Amino acid sequence: MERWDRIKDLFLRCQDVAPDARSAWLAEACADDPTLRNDVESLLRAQAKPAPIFSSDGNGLLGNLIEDEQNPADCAGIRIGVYRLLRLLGEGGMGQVFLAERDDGDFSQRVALKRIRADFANSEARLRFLREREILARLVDPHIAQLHDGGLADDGTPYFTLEYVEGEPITRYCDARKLDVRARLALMLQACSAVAYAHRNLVVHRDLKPSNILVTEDGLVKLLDFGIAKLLEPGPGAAGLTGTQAMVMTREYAAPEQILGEAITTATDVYALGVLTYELLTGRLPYPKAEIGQASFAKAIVEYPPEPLSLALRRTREVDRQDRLSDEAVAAARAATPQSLRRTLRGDLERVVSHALEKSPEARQPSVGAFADDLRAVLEGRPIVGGTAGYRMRKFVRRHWLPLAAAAVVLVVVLVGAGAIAFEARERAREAERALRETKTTAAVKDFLLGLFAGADPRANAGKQVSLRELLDKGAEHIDKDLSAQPSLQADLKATLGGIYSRLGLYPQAIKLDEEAIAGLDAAGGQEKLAAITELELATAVRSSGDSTRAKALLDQTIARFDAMPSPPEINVVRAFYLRTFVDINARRYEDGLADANRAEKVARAHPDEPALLGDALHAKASVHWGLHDYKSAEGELKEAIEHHLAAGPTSGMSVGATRQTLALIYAETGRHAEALALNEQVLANAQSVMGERHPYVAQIMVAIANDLSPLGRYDEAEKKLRQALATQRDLLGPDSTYLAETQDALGEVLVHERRYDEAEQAFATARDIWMKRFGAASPYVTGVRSELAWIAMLRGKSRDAEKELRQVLADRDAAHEADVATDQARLGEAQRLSGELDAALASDRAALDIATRIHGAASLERALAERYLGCALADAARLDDAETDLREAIAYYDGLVGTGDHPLAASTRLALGDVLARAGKRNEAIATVERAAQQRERLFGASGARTKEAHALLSDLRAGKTPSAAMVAMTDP
Amino acid sequence: MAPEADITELLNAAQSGDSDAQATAYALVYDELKRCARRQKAFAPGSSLSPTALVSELYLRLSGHRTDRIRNRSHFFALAARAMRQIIVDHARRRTSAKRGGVAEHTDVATLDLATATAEQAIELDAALTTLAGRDADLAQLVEWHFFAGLTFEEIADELGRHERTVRRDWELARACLQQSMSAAITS
Repeated sequence: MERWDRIKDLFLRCQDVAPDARSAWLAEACADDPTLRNDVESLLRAQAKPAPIFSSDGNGLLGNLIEDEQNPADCAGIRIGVYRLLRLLGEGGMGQVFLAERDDGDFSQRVALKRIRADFANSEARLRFLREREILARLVDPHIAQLHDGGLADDGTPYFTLEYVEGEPITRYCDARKLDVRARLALMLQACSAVAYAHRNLVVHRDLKPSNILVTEDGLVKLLDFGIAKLLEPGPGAAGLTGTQAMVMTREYAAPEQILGEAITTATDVYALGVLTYELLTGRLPYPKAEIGQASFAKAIVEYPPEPLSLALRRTREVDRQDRLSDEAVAAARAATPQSLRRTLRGDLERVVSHALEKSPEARQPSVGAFADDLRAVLEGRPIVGGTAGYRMRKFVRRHWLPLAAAAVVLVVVLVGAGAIAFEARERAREAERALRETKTTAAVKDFLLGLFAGADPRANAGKQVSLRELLDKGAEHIDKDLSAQPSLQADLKATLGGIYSRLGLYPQAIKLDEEAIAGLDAAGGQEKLAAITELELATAVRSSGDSTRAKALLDQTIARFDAMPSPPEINVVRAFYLRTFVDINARRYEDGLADANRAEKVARAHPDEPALLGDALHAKASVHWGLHDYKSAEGELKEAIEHHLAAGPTSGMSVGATRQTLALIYAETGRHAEALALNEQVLANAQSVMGERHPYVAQIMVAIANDLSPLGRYDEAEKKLRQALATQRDLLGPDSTYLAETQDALGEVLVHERRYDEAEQAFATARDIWMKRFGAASPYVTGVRSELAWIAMLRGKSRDAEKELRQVLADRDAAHEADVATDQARLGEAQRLSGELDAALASDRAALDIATRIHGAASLERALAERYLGCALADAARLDDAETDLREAIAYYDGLVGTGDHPLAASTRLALGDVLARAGKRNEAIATVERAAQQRERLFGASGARTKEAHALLSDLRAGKTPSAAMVAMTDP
Repeated sequence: MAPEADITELLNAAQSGDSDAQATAYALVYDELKRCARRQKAFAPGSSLSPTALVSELYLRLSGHRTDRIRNRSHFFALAARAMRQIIVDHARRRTSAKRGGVAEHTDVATLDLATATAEQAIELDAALTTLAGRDADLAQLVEWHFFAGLTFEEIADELGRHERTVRRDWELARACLQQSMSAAITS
């Protein structure tokens, strides 16, 4: 090959020529054959761009490819930090991931532990590792594998621990369960929310793919592996790492800009999510040529247009890889046939995905949120944002064309006003939809109204709810004016509209419409069923607006109507009894309540095809038992109810949450605060994924969680949650909402525990004002606040004032609210002690102890409180042995709440105990006890916290042989 | 007979033109190198495997303390280099085919894909090297010896009876050719 020899020769001689002189030299040498010059120059260019593979000269190449033969026995049992390794989960050239367990003994918490290999602890790999840790520390989200902690192993290599996620890659999860397109999109939405959250925290993932997106058994999506994620703001070492990014991302899911080495932005993640969606929907990747090996992925991603979604399934296809599934198999895995799947994938879905797969980042959806909105629009049959107004109109009309002339009039109104309908929350739309489906109205009416909701955008700002109001009001107006000639249709529409108003919480309008509807139906005659159902709606609205008496009367009537029917509609029957049960509970007519709940249960059990009915009935029954303090029965019924609601499917999602919440309340009531917390956190995660962060229901759950955190002594966490809830509630519910009052009340309590008395008083005052306005000064809520304020007064040292007020509170408490009496009584006792009235104090404390034990049980916060105060009183009365007993019991209770952790009240009580022991002459024991308390306080409040200093002061007094003053001991924490 | 003895016999036989012996020798060298690699890994997990070390180790074991047992070192190196290349490519293929739909646990994506990216490149390199061999067999052999068997330029120069500087420059050319082939694969 002479030509080749010439090229070779020229190249080799060129090596001796200075680089900038080479061009000229070559021109001369190749004067006779210019193409030769091109060949040599292209080789010279190639020489100047070393491929990464040559950087190591073969060394290490092998090491990267051959897996370590890790003997499982080798790593099991090795300790790193406080963790013990169980087994290797996976590894790469630079590090390993193990399944590990905390070695503390008490916490059997399994984590994933990531470690860098000792010989790779060079600067770049280490930087990358620490970068991942830094990124993960910012991200706290139910959909992201949570960072726990980290540190240095014995050999100095860094490690960190993550939530261990047991799940399958999203693609496998969907295929194994044969999930249809809707279900798959729903899972994608979870993934999108995680990515959007990361973006809000300025983190781009850069490596989204199925193996990084796991789904757990109960359908929770978890994002893993921010190993090459990028922080969008400069940080230490930021510059150093980007150079190697070209090597490390997965080709198939890479965006064009990643292949080309251009700037990475959030749009890069949008692209990856597009590819993922494509794969979830079709089982294929968007570039068929690359898939079958005709082109490299890099080339395809950069140059070829993606194949449209619906064409991904074709009748014939080149199949040259055994793992390629046939079209039938792909469709079956999506619970469809190839034809139906193709149909589903055409149209909007195709548009959304190809929008995300645009080569140019700016051409894609502007954010993951926008992409998610598009997916949601497809899920709910709404026009996507990209469409034109004309397109939107046509689609609406096509789906909701109504044959009835009258309804057509209303429909026109709807269409005209359909510009920007907004909703407060998606769940309400669903509920309204469900209400509509349950209601037996004519198909025309139903269609019209379903169309109302289908056209609405659920991801609204709450403020825009007004436009929906306007729409509904206009609709109501027209029904009144234009349909007077068709009374039964008019009544029908009114009833349905009333139900919608009710679901939206607009009770006055709902009530008015329902009343008119019933009047109309009864007048028209022959509409017994609809009348009864409407009356049930009316009763619901009336009850929700606070008028229990009228609600009861209406329910009695409704149930009578149902009883008189040959075949009453079961769903509504159960609902009627369910509602009446709660009305009974509120009025404390427990036997009636139980009777109603039993009837509901009976009907529900006769309809196993509607498990939600039985779930509701059991929930009602459990509530009765709860009112009767029969917690055991209530617990069993709630657990069963949850199962039935879960069986009822996703429409029952809200009920599952509500039932779980009730169960959590029972756990809290019986002192199982940690379990209650776990349950409520589950409820919160589910609610947030459905409704987003800002929703009154979500706020409510946060308050419930705060109420679980507080007894466990985690006051600052509780405060954080309460403030979050407050922010939402203030914005969405207005300043007079009773929910707001409850949150303020809870906040006040937490602030007292944190000794921030001024702020606490403010919070309580706010709550009291709301309750006063709503319920009057005599209501038990207001009485409760008085008790709290008296308590604060006592803590501030005004014990006589407190005593006076507490006496009054006790007198004002009626028998119906005796649950709170134990706490009031205990506080009274303490106030008396602080005022020096020792005999009275002892009497009050003993009474408190009795009441607490009777009402709340032997293991309860209230009893522990009474014991603490009683112990202090006994100490003052020089009955040191008895005092010691009571204080120790209280300590044992608090310790038991938190396992190996520290409860602030345990620490406080230990201080009191220390004093008692010192006075009893057991000096060493006293010192040991106070020492422990000081350590606990240090862990809880930091070394420089005021309370820690108090404890240390007491400790040094004891060590110095001084008997602490009475004032010191009087400092009992709330 | 111990495998080392087998190989030596076979190598010596192959040297005299016995092609069956050649093939068998190759197979045995291949197996032995893999075994060496695994042993090294097991003993020092995380250590980077050096082909040089592996090949040297094997050579030592084959030749024992008597340096004249293998009559033709070049022959051995040629086989070992080829075997090494094959081992690497085999592993690379396995890794690239396994990575889709593979284990989805907490493996560090960066490290896993460092290996995967390397694997892809190894395969590309292999293809490029085959192309180069068709153009210039000597250069291809140089690549095998230097890159896959890990011989230094000095050792290669010794073996071939040439100047080290010449060998170095040849390597530059070989590398340029390979890089040209590999990037053409993306853009062609």
